[in-house]
Amino acid sequence: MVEPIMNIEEVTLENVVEKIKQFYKEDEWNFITVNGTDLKGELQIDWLFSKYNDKNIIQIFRAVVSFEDKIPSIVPVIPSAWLAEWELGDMFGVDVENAAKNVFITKDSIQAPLRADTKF
Amino acid sequence: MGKIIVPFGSQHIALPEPVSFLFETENEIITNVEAHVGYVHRGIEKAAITKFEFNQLPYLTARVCGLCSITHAGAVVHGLEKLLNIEVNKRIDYLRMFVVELDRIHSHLLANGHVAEVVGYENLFMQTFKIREDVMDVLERITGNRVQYDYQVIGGVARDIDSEIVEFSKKKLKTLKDNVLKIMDFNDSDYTFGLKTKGVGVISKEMAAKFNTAGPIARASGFATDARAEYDYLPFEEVGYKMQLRTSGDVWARNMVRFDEVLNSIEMCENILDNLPAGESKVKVKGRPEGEVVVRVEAPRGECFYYLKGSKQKVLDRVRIRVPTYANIPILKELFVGAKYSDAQAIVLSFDPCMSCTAK
Repeated sequence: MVEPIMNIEEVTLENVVEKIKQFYKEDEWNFITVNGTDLKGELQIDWLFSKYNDKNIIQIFRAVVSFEDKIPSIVPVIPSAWLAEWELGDMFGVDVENAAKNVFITKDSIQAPLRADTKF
Repeated sequence: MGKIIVPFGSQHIALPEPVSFLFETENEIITNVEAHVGYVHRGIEKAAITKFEFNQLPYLTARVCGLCSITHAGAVVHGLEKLLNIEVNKRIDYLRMFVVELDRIHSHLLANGHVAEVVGYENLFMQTFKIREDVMDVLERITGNRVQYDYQVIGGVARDIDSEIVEFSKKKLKTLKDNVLKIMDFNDSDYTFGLKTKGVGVISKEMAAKFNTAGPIARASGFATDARAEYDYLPFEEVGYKMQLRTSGDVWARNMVRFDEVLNSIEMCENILDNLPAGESKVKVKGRPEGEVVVRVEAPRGECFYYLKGSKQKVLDRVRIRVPTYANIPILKELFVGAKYSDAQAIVLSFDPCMSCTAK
């Protein structure tokens, strides 16, 4: 078995769109998703990519941000990213640029369920 | 005639699961679409980091989806074994591959049966479901269940198979292969079936790349991507895995690529049964998961992605699941615009959507 190579590049909310724009080629990289992880007080956001036709290469752009920060959208670079961005907004209660709300959870559900301080 | 909004779902005769599309139409042509996907949100990711210990996660994630529960449990098992530094033997790998491919066969036949039904071929739908019973029998014999299988566990599989099951499976797979070839021939050559599926809902190879399309939907457009070829989690190539591609990118090609994959999966299953290595079906598990891992596995509908993070506790810090239907919703939304409303059912069903997976 080939062990996966996970390249993690630290980014900021100010430069992430530009970094991804410089990196991304649609026939070379598969945009997997945007993932949030509650670090208990801060939010780690990963933009994840895998390489087509090349075993086990994973590229991650990682930012650690505040829950109050406005998250920029990468949709102008990757048109399919809107769904993952909307889910990030719904699940963590963060403000993502141009994201619709309550697509993954209804308005009468518990909001921001993946925040560590959301109990149910 | 002006614009008319036509709701499609959340409850609709053509939809196996709840999803809602609001089609804005003008003279039967869809001009805009709005999608709502959260009708079956069950909080599985939250449960995975609050209510369940890591060794219970294969059981929990198998509940993401009744059809591809083997894939979900397999993905989380693979990730946890990486975090626990567990190596399994070749017999376990082969048994896992066997059920994964059986799962693909029954899921693909179910999808193609649904497409037949919505384009007006009820008998073909029933025939497809009838022949699917052979693979359901094999799965039931091995796992104990017809759906919601709990087969893959950390360090191995829940049950080994004996020579009687091997012979039973070989017989069933042979019958299945003969029947699949007959039904595939009908899908391939029937004139009216072709009229309803060829040239409908066409995704070009360029569109597939632009919208990061996954699984058979991408491969039906000639876009070569398959987690079995792009991530090392089981030795598929040893047992005859070959990536299946079609090029026309329409409803017909999506059906045909699934049939191609069914035949390849049957061949792989036969090779596994003929070359099943000796060994135990479970190895010892100890320790607690530490670190982070990314897992990609090929579910029947396409690439299924898991991210796991642990810090040597009984409960993980994060379990992220991204399923293939989720990856294919952006291209599906694009595809609707410009399509005839009357083709919407066939287009949706040709994607083999799973909303349980998507909303999890």
